[in-house]
Amino acid sequence: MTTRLNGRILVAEDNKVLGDVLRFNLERSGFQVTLARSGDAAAKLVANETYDLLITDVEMPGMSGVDLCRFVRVDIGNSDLPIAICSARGLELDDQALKAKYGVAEIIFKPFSVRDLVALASRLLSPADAPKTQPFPFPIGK
Amino acid sequence: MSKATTSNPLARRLCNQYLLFSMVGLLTFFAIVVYICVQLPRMDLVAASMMIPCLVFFVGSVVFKRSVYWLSELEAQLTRFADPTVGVEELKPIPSTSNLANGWNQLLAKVQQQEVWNGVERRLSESFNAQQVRRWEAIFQQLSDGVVLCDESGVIVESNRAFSNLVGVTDSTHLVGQPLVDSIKPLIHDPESIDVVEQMVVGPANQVGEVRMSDRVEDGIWRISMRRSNQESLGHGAMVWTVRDITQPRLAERAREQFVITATHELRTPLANIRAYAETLSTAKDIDVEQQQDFFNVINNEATRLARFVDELLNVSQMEAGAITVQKHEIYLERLMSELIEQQRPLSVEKSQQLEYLAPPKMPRIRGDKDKLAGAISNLIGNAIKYTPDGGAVKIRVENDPHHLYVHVEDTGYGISKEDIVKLGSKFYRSSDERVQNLAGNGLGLAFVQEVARLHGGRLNIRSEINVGSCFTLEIPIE
Repeated sequence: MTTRLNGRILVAEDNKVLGDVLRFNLERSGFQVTLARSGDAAAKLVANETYDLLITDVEMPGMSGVDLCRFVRVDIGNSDLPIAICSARGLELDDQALKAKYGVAEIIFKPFSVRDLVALASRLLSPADAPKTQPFPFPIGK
Repeated sequence: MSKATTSNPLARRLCNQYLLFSMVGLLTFFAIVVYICVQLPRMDLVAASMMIPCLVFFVGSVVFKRSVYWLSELEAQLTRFADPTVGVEELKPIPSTSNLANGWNQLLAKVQQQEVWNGVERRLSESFNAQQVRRWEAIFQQLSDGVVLCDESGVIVESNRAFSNLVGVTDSTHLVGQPLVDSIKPLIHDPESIDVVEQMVVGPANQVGEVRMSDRVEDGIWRISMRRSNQESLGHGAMVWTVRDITQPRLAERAREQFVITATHELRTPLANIRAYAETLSTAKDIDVEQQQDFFNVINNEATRLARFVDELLNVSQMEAGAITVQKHEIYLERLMSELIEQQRPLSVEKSQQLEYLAPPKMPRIRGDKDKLAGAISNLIGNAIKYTPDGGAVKIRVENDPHHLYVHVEDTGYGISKEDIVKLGSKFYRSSDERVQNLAGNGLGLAFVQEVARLHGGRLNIRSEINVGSCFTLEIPIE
């Protein structure tokens, strides 16, 4: 990690142990990381603060990762925020549908490599790498 | 008999008798004519002698009639015999010793005997058929699938008990004459499913369809098959419907799928942590020793969690296969309980909780599987500590009556809602309470405790109030 990276990342992860190690690695790479321990907490943060990337788990108590994606895209109408999903779910998660419906940039499955996750974050936050998100398929707004 | 037939004695006898009387009459007539010629002056004698042939004719006629009377009787009987509406039992033998009458009498006796046998045979066969019909009827009624016979327009002609049960009717005769679609329509709240049945009534000869009562599997799913019969006996275009309730297999299938999904999730989570921390340790060379130690501890804890999960998975899979067995020995409860509480005490100290233990002065003697009971009790105590906030209290009370041992584990924890209590014994089910969800757990523990209680002939009782606390009671019979 020779080059310091920039960007505000919101990590929604209910598993404290995993959340901590993600924050540790992302911060070491230079990102500013906010950790939310539930989907609801992440929703509150994303509605009030500005972030450059959202990394979210799927299975969380209360609002799930998928609900959070819907909240970001539909409820608050934020179509620019790149979203990456890291999930412990397997085949039952329809990744193609999620990408198409909520413009999710990338879905990675646990157990994933933290190095890959950092690389993904830097790729999604790099200004040269456009587009950051998949084109969003329908007009957003309440 | 053959002789009588060939010599024809009846005809000969009739001819002989006729000849005899004719000759006697003729001879008498000639004698009288001769006498008249000789005795002409004696008119009185002439008159008297004229009476003689009359008398002879009269006597002859009577004798002749008597000898042929039975013939008219035979004719009458034969005429009745030829009439198909007259039963054999209504025919009579002829009271005569002639061969022809004997022949008739023997024939009648044989035919009447045959008729008696036929009657016996018919009654036997009728009772056999009736039994057969009753047997098939019983089989029809005993079938676990609902079976319905409908006419070509879909109106119920006959249905069995299983079908009545499915549609919630006590007497299947109430369904007769009703269109099948109408009988099941009130149960189905899924419009698409009603279409499926309606299409089957008008569709091709053999069809299979699935009918959902609503969009929830729990409300019921039926597999319906319809075959249009070409059997004459069932009526032209008759339909035989078979209705099978597949709700339970579907639920089991869904539970299995859920099991795999949850198990995968439970395996992936600690694996993700181990991989992430191991990778961090291998790449971040510059982190301090203390932090390194923390990371190693995480890996260790997660590996332990993974191993415990695999053990519990094995327990559950053994429970499912019925392969989990208990080895019953006498258990020294005093020692076992103290050991279990001491094992858990460090956790409660860490959370500044009060851990209280109350036991009767004399513990009852029980027989059971020490390891499994220890696992169950330790699970209950561990849960109580885990789901009670810092500074709370956990109280373990052992009680008994003459027949049961009770281990109560009470806490001042988060409590469990009524809806959650019902589902707690299900594998992988965890309380929907966010505070519970935030703590590591896989939802297998209570399923195990319940199974251990069941294997000992006991049970697990749960009382709880949200934000007040819970009391789990393990009830084990004393042998």
